[in-house]
Amino acid sequence: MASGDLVVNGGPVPVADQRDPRWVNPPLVEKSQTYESISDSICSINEQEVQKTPAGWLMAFAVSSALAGFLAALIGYLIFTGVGVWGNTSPIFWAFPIVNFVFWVGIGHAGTLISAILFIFRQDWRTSINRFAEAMTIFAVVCAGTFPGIHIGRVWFAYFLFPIPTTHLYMWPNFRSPLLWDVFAVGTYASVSLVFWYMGMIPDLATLRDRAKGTIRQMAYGIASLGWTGSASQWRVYEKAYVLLSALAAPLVLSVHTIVSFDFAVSQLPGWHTTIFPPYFVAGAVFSGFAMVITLIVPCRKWYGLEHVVTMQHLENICKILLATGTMVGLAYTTEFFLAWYGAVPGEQDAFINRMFGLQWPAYYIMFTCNAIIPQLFWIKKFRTSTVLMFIISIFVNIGMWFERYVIVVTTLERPALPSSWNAFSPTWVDFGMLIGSFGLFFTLFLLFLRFLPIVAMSEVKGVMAHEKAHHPDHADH
Amino acid sequence: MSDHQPKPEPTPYEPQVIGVLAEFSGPEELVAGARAIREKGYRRVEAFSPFPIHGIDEALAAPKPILPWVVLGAGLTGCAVAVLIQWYMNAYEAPIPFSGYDYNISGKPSWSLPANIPVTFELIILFSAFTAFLGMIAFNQLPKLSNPLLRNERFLRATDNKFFLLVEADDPQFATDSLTGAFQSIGAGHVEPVYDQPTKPLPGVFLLVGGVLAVAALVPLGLIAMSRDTTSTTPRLSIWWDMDYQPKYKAQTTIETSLFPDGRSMRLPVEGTVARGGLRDNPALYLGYIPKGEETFETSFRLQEEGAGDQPPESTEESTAEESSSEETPAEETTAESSDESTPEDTSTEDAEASTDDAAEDSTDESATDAAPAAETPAASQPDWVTEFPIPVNMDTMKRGQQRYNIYCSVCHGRAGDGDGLVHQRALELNQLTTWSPPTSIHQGEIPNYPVGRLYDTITNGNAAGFLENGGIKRGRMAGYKAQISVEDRWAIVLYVKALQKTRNASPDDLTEAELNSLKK
Repeated sequence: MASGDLVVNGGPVPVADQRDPRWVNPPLVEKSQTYESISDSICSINEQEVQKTPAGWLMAFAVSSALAGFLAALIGYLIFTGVGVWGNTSPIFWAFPIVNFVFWVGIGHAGTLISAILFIFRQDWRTSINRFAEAMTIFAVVCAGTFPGIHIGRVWFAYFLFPIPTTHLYMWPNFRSPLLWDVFAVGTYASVSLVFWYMGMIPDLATLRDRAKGTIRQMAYGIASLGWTGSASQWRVYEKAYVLLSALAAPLVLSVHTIVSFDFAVSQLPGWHTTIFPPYFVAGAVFSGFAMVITLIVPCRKWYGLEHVVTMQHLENICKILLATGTMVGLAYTTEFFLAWYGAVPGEQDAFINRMFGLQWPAYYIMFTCNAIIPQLFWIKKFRTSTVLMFIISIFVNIGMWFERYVIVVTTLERPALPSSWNAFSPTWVDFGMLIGSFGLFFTLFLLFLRFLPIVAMSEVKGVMAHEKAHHPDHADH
Repeated sequence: MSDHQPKPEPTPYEPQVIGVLAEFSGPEELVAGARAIREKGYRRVEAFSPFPIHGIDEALAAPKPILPWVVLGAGLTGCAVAVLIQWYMNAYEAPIPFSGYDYNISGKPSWSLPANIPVTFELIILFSAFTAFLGMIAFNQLPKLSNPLLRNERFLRATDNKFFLLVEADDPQFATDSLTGAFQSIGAGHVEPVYDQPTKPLPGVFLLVGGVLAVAALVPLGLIAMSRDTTSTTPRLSIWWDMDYQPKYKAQTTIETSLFPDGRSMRLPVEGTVARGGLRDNPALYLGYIPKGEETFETSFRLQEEGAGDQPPESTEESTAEESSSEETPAEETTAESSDESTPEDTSTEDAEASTDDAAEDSTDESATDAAPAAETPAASQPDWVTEFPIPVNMDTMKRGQQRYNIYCSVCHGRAGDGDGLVHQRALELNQLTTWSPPTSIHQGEIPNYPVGRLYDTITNGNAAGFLENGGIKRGRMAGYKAQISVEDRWAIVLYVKALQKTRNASPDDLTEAELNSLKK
């Protein structure tokens, strides 16, 4: 079927096309693509035979699954030995596990943000990258959930976190505790994101099913796609459900990191007890999430030859979001200092002086440089359009955002109100091992996703393509 | 590829036609085709496409999904559930199984909506989102893994790049031939009828294995439930020790596996040393009496320490003391009496005027107890009570003593020392006269004549004066206060007690001329 066959359908004219007629939207899908070529290029990644699995994938999987196994071993060591294997010590009881938790939850924000908020705003460019980002969200939340789970110390009592009616325990959770809010927020976020991700994949899983050759493939993709046929009545309910899920997930995204920030802001420690935390955390989460999207998508796009689907246009848009949120985060850092000075509370001022000049001063400068200064390079178009440069900057942002959480958690806890309780935090090898291991877990899951699931939302890309070709027939033929 | 649906099996089964499938080249053609076929009067028309197409719903005259209303209902349910569980678990108490309880956090109100907003918000989202997803599944009648359409080779392109219309067999106008003609007349590509398939029953082995697995899955749950409800003589298996068993030695114990050869978990002080702050080199100050004879400083020090060691009777506080004295055995009686140093000693040493004793209820009991310990205790070991204050006596000390007295003593002895403190009044109110021994008035009997050292000793070690009442044994129940009140403060209290006693029998001679004159004005 030739792409020139497509003509205008009867859909409503989007707002974007009511602009100056001289404006031409840059194409969201490059080259002369047909529906079939989109299916081919995406599905071929999953359809490679087992014997022909690329060596690069195998090597990456070997490394990351080894690290994930290392994480599992360390968790076993932790459970059988006790939390003393960490560097956590009085009064720094949170330390690495909570730093890692907030870091990973933050990364988990980009996926649903791209899927939900950009969907509601009809940002069609999201279609090429949303599946990617949603998968990243799920896996980041898996990593995030691991840390508070093991940080409770006696993990076999993790069910204390949930309101379970029992006669032997007779204990209810305290619904006024932000830590309990966290359980509900992260739990809701993880499950709703999973549903959102899976529902988006059903039509593409059906495509894989219908293309599948072997029986095992047919059965696996057949069960996963639930018998989807793509009938108009299915699409009708599906689209309605998708809009509803987006509308529900959008405030959910904002609420999750808000509630994570309540873990800090609702306490009364200097440096934590500030009203700026919810917006500051959400901006930081979007920032770190988009940075991770760049980190993942730049190499994947190259290896899997997806340049025609994930165009430079997409990457540049992400860089612009990084620039905007990075600036917001930088603004928040300075606002905190302004508030400490303007608030005239000595304890608060000490906390911030300690943050900048105290024991953890290197962490503070790493954080500020990586998050607030380096992303400013995206003002220059060359940085926004070079995959190598944006990849490097995204790595800096990932590092910076980890240090942001480290600075917040550790500097405040090291200096409680009672000077006799002051202490210095030093992580152990287990702390570092678990941080590295969590990356192993994340990449293991991500590589499995790349191998077995449709990594681009094909049905959505085809929809955008039909729409685009219908409205700009000149683009369709070059 | 053949144009006909491959006949499934060579069985006598006769495939039924389920509809006629027509292929279209693109989304716009599909919409136009749907509109045209409906105009020809067909009503059971379904369209298939690899992505959602705008306008197809209007062309098929499809009803709007009611899913949003269902989701709204779920959201409201989530809100109600969240508010209710939070109220039930944290703010409601009733004598019912699985009741919630009043969750008191620093005296804040147990029900305050602002703190409940985050969880309510999350549950609204959770309920709505899952309803949206499950509603999509349910309204689309998924999962439906077996579908005759999916056995059609051409139809498989419907999820890739092809567009189809299907007129189902239950359409009132349905006739394969006329329908095929109708499709071809409106520009459809390939047109073919679709047949259904014989449904094969699930092999019995699946049911068997499934059933066995389902039953097996219940076994662990059953075992857990059973172990929760039954008792066992064997200790439970501790995979994790939690805090039940800890590798540590408890204080004041002896264990065979102790670190030390003598088996004690603790060490004794090094011979000939005194712990910092533990030097009691002024017996007048610390004991309230001067040890006699061979008692050196060291023995007095040891007396003090050992006295601190065997505290159990002394540490009985008022609450525990209320319980059980009437059941005490005679054997305990003698120990109680002999351990009591003060009563016999002072009656013998102080003065013989003690014909009317302070125990107003029964003076004969008192004299009986006097006699027995006096015989046991050699006169030589009786304390030499301190009669002068070993601390500076001034107005500051007096004020301090008043304040401490009002805190520690007045609850029983009353502010004026009449033995009518609030605890006593409460005991009377509760009709506890059979078990309650009333506090002594500090103004009665010989007490105003007690030397200061004796008062100090009573505050320090308590008053275990025993006396008989109604044939039973009762003991004075004042506990020692040395754990609560410092040495200096005890002396300050003694000073204040002396002052209180003075208020009842002061004479003008006690005052200086100037003070007397100032009062006379």
